[in-house]
Amino acid sequence: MTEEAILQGCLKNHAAAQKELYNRYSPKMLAVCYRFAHNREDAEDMLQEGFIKVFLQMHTFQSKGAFEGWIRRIIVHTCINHLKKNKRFNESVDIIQASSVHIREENIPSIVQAKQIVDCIRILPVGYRTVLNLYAIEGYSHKEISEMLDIEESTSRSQYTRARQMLEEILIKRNLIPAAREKTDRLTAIH
Amino acid sequence: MKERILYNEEFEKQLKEKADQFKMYPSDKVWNEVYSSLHTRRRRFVAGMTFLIGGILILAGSQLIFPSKNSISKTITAKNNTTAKSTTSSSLNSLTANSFASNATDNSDDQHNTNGILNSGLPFDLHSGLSSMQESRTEEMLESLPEKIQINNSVKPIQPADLKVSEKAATPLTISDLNQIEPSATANPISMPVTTDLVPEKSVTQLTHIHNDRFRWELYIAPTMNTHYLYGLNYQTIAQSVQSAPIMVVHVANVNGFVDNTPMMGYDIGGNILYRISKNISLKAGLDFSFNRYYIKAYNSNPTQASATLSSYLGYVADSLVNSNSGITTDKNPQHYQNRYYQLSLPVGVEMNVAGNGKLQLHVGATLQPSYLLNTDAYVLSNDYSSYTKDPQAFRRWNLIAGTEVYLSYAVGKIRWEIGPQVRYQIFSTYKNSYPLQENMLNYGIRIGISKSIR
Repeated sequence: MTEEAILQGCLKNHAAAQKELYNRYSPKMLAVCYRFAHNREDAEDMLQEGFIKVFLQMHTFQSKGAFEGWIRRIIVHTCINHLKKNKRFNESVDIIQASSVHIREENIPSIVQAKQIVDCIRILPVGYRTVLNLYAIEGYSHKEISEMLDIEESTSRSQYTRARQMLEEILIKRNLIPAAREKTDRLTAIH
Repeated sequence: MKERILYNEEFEKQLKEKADQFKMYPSDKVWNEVYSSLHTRRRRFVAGMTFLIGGILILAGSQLIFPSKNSISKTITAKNNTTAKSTTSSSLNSLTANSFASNATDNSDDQHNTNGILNSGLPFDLHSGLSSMQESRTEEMLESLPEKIQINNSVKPIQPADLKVSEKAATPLTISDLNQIEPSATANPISMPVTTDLVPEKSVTQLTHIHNDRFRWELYIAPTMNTHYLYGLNYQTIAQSVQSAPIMVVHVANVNGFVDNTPMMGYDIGGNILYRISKNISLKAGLDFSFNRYYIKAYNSNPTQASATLSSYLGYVADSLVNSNSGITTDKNPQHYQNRYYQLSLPVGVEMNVAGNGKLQLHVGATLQPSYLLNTDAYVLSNDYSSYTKDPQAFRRWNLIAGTEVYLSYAVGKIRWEIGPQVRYQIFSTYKNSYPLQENMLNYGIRIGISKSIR
C-alpha cells in the first residue's frame, strides 16, 4: 500500500489503512518514546496517545513535508506533554551554568550498537534526557525547547551541556567511547 | 545554527544516527487501544443497543412472566390464619382487590407512602386497617367494586357487616398508631401489605379515571439491513402470449445466480399519528423516509454496449442502449458498487396492543405504504445479466410497501420508549413492468422510537 493510499484510507477512517500506518511507523516511534519515557510501559502509553492524535489530526497534514517527520513531531510533543502531566520533567529540572563545563570532542565508534546508546541516554536524569533528546536527536533549537518545556532558553542550554557531559561520562564508563585522561580523572572523582 | 557550532556537530550527528537506528515493537495492546479509541462510536452504538435491548427484554420478562411481583401495592390479599379466631379472618379466605391503586404511575406520592408503611416492618391487622375507613365509605366502595373484588368461591362472600369496625374507626390511622400496635400473632390474623390506596376516595377516583387521550404521535428510527430479490424474465409466459415474438436467447435460469450482491446497512426514519379506536387498537398514518442500499460486486471491463431493454407485447424494443463500464468479466480486481434507493412513503395501518400493562406493553402493527422513489441513478442489470448500467427510465417511481413490526413500549414519565423488529417488503418491482427483470426490496431492522399522547 502506498503512502498516499494509506493517507487517503486514514482520512476515511478505514481501519486497514490505520493499521498499515501503525505497523509502518510504530517501531520507530516507540523507540522515540522510549528515549523520553521512564520505562517501556510509559513509552507504550505515549505511543498510544500519540498515534490517536496522529489519526485524529490526519486532515491537518499537508503533503509538503515528510509524513514521518510530521508523525514524529506529534509523538515528541505527546511525550513532552506526558512528562509534564506526570510532573516527572519539572521535578528533575535544575539549572547549571553552561559556561563552567568543559566540552570534549568525542566520536562514537560505529561498532557501538544503537541500543547501547539509547540505554545510556535513558540513564540520564529526566530533565537532561529530555533536553538532550530534543536538541541532539530531534533537532529542536534551544528556543523551541524552552517554549516546549516552559523553561528559560539559557536553562535549556545549560541542561543540554550538562546532559552531554554526563552522557560522555557514561559512554566512557561503559567503554563505548575511548576515555581521555582528564575525563577518566573526573569519573573517578565522581564515582 | 550558531549554537550548534559551539558543540561538536559530529557527536550530535552520530548520536542521532545511532538513536534513529533503534527500533522497538509495541505490544498488541497498544494497537487495540488505539483502534478502540478511534472507533468508539461504533462500539458505543453496539454497547448502547445491547444494553437498551437487554434492559427492555429483562423488564418485559419480569412484567409479563411475573406480573404479581411488581404489583404488590396494587393487590390486597388476605389469607386465613388457621390459628386466629377472628371473625373476619375466618370468613375471609381470599380477598383480592386488583383495582386498588390501579394507576400506579399516576400516584407516585402514594407509592412513597406505601413504601413507608411497608418498610416499617409492622404487620397490619385488617381490623385496624379497615378501622381507618368510615363504615359508610367502606360500603360504598365495596358496592362500587363488585366485579373488581375476586372472592374465592369456597368461602362466604365478605359482607360489610362482617367487617368489625372498632370504636376508633372514626379517627384516621396514623403512623404513630401503627407503631403502637403489638406485632403479636394473635393480633395478626391477616398478614397483608396495606397501601394508602385503601383510602376510598382515591380508589374510586382511580377506578373511574378513563384515558381520553385518543391521539398520540410517534417518532422512530430503524437501522436496517437491505437486501433484494431478483426475478428473471418468464420466457414461457411471453412466448405464449406473443406468438410472433422473435426468438431470442433468454436466460430462464435464476438471475440471482448471475450476480453477486451483498446486503448493506441502511436506515428508516419517520413519524406517525395514531388514533385509538378501541382500548387496544389504533389506526396510524405518517411519513417515512428510507435509505436502502446493497453492494454490487462487479469487475471493471472495457466499455461495451450493454442493453437494458424494455419489453413490450410487440417483442423486444431496444430503446435503451447504454455504455457500461462495469461488466461481469473475469477481471481479477472486483469492484464494489452501491445501489442506493431513497424513498418517501406514507404508511397507513393498524396497531394493536396485545399484552402488557400501563407501564410495559407489547404491540404489533402492520402498514401499507405508498412510496415514491426519489432517485433513479441506481445500477440496473442488463438483459443478458452480463453488465450493470444506469438507466433512469427503467425505474418505477411509485410503489407499494408492506410493513410490519412488533415492539415493546415502556413508559418513562409521559413518554413511551419503543423498540422491536420491523420488516418492510416492496410489493412491486423497482423496475417498470416493461423491464424484463423484477427487483423486490426487503429490509429488516430494529426500530427504536418514542411516542406521547396528544392531550
